[in-house]
Amino acid sequence: MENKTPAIEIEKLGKVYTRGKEEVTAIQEISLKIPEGKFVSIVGPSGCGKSTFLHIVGGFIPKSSGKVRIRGKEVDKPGPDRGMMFQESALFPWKNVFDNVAWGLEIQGMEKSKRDEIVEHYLKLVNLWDFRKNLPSELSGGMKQRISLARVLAFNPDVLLMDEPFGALDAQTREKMQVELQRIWQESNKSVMFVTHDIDEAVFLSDIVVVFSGRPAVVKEIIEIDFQRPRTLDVHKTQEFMDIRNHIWDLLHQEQGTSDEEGM
Amino acid sequence: MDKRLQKIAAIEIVVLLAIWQALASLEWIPAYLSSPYVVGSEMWALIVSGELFTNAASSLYRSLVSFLLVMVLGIVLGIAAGFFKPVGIFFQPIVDVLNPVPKIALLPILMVWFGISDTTRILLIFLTAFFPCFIATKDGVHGVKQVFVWAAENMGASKFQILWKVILPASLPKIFDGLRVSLGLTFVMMFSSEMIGSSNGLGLGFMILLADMAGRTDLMFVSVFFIALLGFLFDRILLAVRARLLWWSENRG
Amino acid sequence: MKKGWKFLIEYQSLIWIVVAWELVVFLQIMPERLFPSLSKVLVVAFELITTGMLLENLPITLFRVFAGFALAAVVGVPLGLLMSRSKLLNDLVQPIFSLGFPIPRVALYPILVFILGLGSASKITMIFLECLFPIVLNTYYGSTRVGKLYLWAAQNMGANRSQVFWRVLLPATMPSIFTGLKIALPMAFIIAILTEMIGATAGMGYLLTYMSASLMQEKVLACVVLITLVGYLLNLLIQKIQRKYVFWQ
Repeated sequence: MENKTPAIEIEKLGKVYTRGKEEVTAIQEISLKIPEGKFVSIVGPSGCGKSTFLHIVGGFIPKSSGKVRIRGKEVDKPGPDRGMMFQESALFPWKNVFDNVAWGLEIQGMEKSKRDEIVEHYLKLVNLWDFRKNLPSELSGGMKQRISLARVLAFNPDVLLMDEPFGALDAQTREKMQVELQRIWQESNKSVMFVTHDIDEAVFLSDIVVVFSGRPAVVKEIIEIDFQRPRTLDVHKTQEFMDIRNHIWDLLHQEQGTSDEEGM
Repeated sequence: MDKRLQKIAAIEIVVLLAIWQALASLEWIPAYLSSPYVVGSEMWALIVSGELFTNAASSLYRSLVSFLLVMVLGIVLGIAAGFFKPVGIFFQPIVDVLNPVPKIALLPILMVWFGISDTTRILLIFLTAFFPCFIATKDGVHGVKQVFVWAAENMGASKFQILWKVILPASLPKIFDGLRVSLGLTFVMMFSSEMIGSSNGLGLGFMILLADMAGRTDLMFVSVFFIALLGFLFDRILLAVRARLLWWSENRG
Repeated sequence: MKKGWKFLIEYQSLIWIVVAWELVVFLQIMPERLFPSLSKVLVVAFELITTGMLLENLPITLFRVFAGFALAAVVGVPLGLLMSRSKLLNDLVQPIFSLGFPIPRVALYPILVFILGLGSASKITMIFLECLFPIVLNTYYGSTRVGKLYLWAAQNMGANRSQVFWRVLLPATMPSIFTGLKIALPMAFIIAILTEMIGATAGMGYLLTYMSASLMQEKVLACVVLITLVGYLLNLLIQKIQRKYVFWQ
């Protein structure tokens, strides 16, 4: 249905930056629509510009051309309409868990009683209410990312942007986090744009997987995935899952040949 | 320093004082090296008469006013220079040229302009102690993780909120490193500015100068001991404040 | 053209200071006796060089700086390294350095003068004492932080104790040692000027006080300019040496 406004609409987005005297095209010209309430992953080879792409959508770095619209409204600066989660923990080490989650609400001038209620709700949602008085430095990597998710959800953004949020975690924690994320996402019903280099992660989590090719980044293929939700880790074992996974692997591998030597 | 090293330090000090006293009693060292007993009784006399405190007070006044100026201007300008690139570029050449200069060399010039006054001394102390604080603050700001700033922007923080609630706390560990160096220099320059230039007025440096001219080494030891004590004490205070403010940091010690 | 413009922008703060200074002179806001023009100062500085005043005094100061600094390095580096290897030595020495670190040690100088006289000996001792602290502390912390893995790898490859020390521990601590030396050298220069200003018959600090007695501000400023230049060159020197010998950092 075309008459519905997409949650995120990217129109002919391009990024060129100068390195010394050279001009390097990081992103060629990408157009993409992310429908309301969908979980969309972007996969691509390392250093293909997918993180840059997400940072531009987040408004953190300037774009060279094109437009980004969130629910129809054009944006080019960071704002609480897009909740961003980073690969490395962006929790403030000088604030405890509770105050970290409350930070955005406090900045926006929300009154304390209401703020506390929201923080409690989200800390319970990510199952870390018991750790509210701890410092981030006292938590494991997986816990930190769950707190980050709670912090982002707390200020109720229109869309979630996630930049390899589980990239620094070990394989087992990663799988647990994926199941957690699916549960939390289903409860919050937000539109998500999720960047990863892990094909399994993308296929397991997403309604739509967008495959980027490397340097400069362009959209290579868009794949819809319609496994029943909630998905369990067993879905990895199905033939259908493996077929999709292998297909994406092939797509990326054609790429690797050209961009691997420069891999970041 | 942990408890064990503190104990060792205390023992070492007692042993050194005992050796000094023994050598003095046996008259194995020249009389001008005095003895702990004489120095101690002189100090007591100066404490009772209040003379030590009046001198220490005017020295402290100069030091602390300068240090306050260093703290405020060093941190504010350091953050501005670290956060806003043009400000940083503007200050860089001044820092490059002035930082390695022995600021004490400016004393004769300041004396001609402002006389032999507290203005001259405070200015001299400030000029010396400013740079470590400024440079450390700027480095601290540069070391703040980009994602902290981005996360704050993402949550709708204004420029001022980012500076006050993210950049300042995140660079605080580095700022304290700089402040500690600045505080040390404050006392060095307090002493130096009182030593050079004039022999009248109040201050621990003057006490040394006067004692020197009278050949009273015992009084010199008293002043030296007191300057050392003040330096040590204020360093401890700074470390205590640091531990309080940086309770969250791994290197709060 | 573009390059020149960029240069001007980058160094604008210095240019503004010079402009402001000359404006004060030009508008005679301060009497010229107190506030001479910079061109005049440079001329006097040049005179100080050509008349041999600089050559009479600078070597004496530099001698004191390098003697005190070298002594501190020769004593401080091995002491710091040994402290990290021997618990007993560390227990004995560490408290002295921890207690002595925050106190203004220059206050001892007048007493040193009493013992050693006004000549170079008291000044070199003072410089030595002052430089010892950053050198020992940085060497010590640097060498305690040398990764166990390096030492294990060396032992694994059959290195004996002295080989481990000379070929692994020392080079691995080198960056920290240089950090200490880099703090110490400017300090040595500052202490040299300071002690010469308190009392001396030769040296740059002496020249400065001698000039200030003449009440000719341009002469004093010329001295400051020369001292600044020397301080700047010393800084440059240690950076060059560091780049040459600690190239892997």
